[in-house]
Amino acid sequence: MKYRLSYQKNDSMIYVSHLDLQRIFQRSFRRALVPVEYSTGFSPHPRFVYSPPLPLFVSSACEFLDFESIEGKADDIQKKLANALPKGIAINSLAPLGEHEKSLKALLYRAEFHIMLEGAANAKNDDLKLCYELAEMPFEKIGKKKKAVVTNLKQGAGSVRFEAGAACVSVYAELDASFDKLVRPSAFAQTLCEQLEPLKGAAVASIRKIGLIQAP
Amino acid sequence: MSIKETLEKKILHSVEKPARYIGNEYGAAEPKEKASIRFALAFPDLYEVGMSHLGFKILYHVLNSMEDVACERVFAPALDMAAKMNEHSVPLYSLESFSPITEFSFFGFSLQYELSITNVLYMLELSGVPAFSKDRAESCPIIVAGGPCCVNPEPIREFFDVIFIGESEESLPLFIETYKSCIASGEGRQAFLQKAAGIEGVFVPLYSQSAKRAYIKDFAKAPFPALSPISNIEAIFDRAMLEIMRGCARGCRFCQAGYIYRPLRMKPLETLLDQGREMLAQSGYNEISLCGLSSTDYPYCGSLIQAFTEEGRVKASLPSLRIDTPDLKLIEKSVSSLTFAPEAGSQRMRDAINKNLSEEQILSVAQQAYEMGCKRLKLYFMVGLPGESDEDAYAIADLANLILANSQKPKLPHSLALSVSVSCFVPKPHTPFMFNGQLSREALSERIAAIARRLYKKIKLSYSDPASSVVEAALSRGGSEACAAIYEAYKAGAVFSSWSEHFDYSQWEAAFLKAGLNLEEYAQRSFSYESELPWGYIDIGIDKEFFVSEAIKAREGICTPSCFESCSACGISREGKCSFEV
Ligand code: SF4
Repeated sequence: MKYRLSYQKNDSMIYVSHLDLQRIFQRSFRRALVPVEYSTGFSPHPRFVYSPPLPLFVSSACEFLDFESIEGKADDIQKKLANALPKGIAINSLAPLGEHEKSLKALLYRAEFHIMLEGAANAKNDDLKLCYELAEMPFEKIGKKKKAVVTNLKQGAGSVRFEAGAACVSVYAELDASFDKLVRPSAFAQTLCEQLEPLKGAAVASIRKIGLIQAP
Repeated sequence: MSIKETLEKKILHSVEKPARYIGNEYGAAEPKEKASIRFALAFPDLYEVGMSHLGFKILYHVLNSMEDVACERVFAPALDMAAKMNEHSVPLYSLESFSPITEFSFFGFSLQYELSITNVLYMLELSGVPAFSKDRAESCPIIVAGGPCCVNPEPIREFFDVIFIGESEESLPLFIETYKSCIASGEGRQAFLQKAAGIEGVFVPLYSQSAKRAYIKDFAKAPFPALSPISNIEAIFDRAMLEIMRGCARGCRFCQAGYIYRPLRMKPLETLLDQGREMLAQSGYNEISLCGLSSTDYPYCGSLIQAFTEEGRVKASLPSLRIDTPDLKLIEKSVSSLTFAPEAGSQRMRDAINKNLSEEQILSVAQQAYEMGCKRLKLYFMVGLPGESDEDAYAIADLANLILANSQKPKLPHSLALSVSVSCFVPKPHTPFMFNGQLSREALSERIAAIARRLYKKIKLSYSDPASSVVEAALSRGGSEACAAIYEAYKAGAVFSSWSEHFDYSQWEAAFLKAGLNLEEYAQRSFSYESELPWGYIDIGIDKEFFVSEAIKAREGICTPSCFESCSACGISREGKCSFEV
């Protein structure tokens, strides 16, 4: 039977990389005594499908893990697993995965990120909106052949909203977060601070993935 | 801002491996609100090293099992982290409750290797605690040390208020009780220290003249941590560690652990099966290591491995294999990669160190392993052993060459990748070689170079740095005058000295000089059998006469049988013989 676990990555779990998280899940399932299907071959490992790696320092309200188990009731598995996970990983839901439900690959398209910026006290919502519309958002990354490639992060972004508060600016940005295309939210936040005049000198306080955007 | 907030807001984003510094592991103790005694248990190395240490896990468990005691973990922050902590005025803190060390009653260090001592001073400074015991105020935490390095308290005596000798699981309960009663009756620090000096296994530099090692007599009932904090990032040893035995019956003359953990004690098979199963279930690890100095001496090793591997998807492993292990296949499911430690190349030297292994045995086991499918074989050797000549060093290369040549005779589809690892011998207190000085740095380097020249090109050679072994030797058999040298070395910037990338010989050389000592001469000094040794007042349980007789037998190349075969009356058992029934 296939199951889909939806979970949150909170608090100090944001310092744990995707690779370490995989180890944590493998051990947690063993602790919970939830038997899972293993791959065959020389070093068998559980057949887990995770949502794409979440960067370090980013928390999330909506991560996924698909697994197969011969164990029956989803409720039971959820209860057992909840006790076996380290603090900071909270289960949203655990449910059997129906035949025609979308695979994670098909499901994950874009996600909404809440980026908190500090040190931009005088920013106004309208200015920010206008500046963003005019901005280019170029981001330089090292490409495959170790060559620097400049991409326009706007191409991987959907709607972007700003909410300037007294001490912080909240940015709600829809960014590509699928298996083959993804915009690193920290890169997006950093580029915002560089390119938008009212955000010059601001720094990222926190980033959280808050929801999923369905593919059109 | 609290320490945790400062970490999250200002620090962790800009340091390497931030998860080292934030705790929150599955299995970590909940901070006990009502505990009257708070014990900060420290490992003077990086998080992932300390989290891999079995003794550390045991003590954490023992202390947290005591009512009224809350034990929390502390590790040495890497240099980038320490710089950030200083920048933001964050003192060293515990991982469970993010409390500054100065809020604890005790700050206890596990000293596993000599070169980690400067990290103690580093951690004390980060905590705001004076380096020297004499400078500490009444309200300061009591600074404690334990672990194998403590069997010679002299070079560290000025830094610690209390030094545990032997197995502190045994002495801690009374130690803590004594502290409690002192608190209850309003007695101060000095009164407590004076009383603690009377506990077996406890040495208080200020008040003790001598101390006797404490050890667990009924090992089957030894405290056992079913669940220890499980690192969220990869620890060096990321697996369940089941201690199947303590001590060793073999009596290799170079090996300090082989003497200071005597007698050999083993847990019953049923106990180990239960404990192993419980550990695996509670931790979720998929690997279990059967820990012990010479695990294959445990008579039911094969049964344990079989049981654990068959019951779940678990890999059971042994930390080391003896060459005279009766049945390789039983022990190791997969022999594709094996490690053996002949320790010396020539028969003469193997007899001198009491390795009790013949060349035929070594050659035949290596060949057997290869024919069973072993593709990678690693051999461990030492250079600089007392009485060693150039020829003995050449014999290391000759033996390895012969093993490789033999493997090429049968036409098997796979070839053998042979590697040789050479470490520099360091004479240690409470061993028959404690009287001997260390070989000079030049001579050690020359022996290693000679091996490299002689070894077939196809054999990979790795070796330890003679320079760091000189410092290790100076510290391990040092007297109290070495305290000043250690302090100078720390002041000159020597931290993480056990990491080759941080080790700087010139720093240590200069520090010894400042303390009025010549480092190399200090490491090379030898003691006569009659002389009063710096650590002579520590009673490890073994008679000095036994060590002297072993030293003489070493010189003459005479072997001593293992305790299994016959008792050599080392002094541990007053009845004249230990029982090894499981
Ligand atoms: S008393 Fe005898 S059997 Fe016991 S540890 Fe010493 S030599 Fe071995």
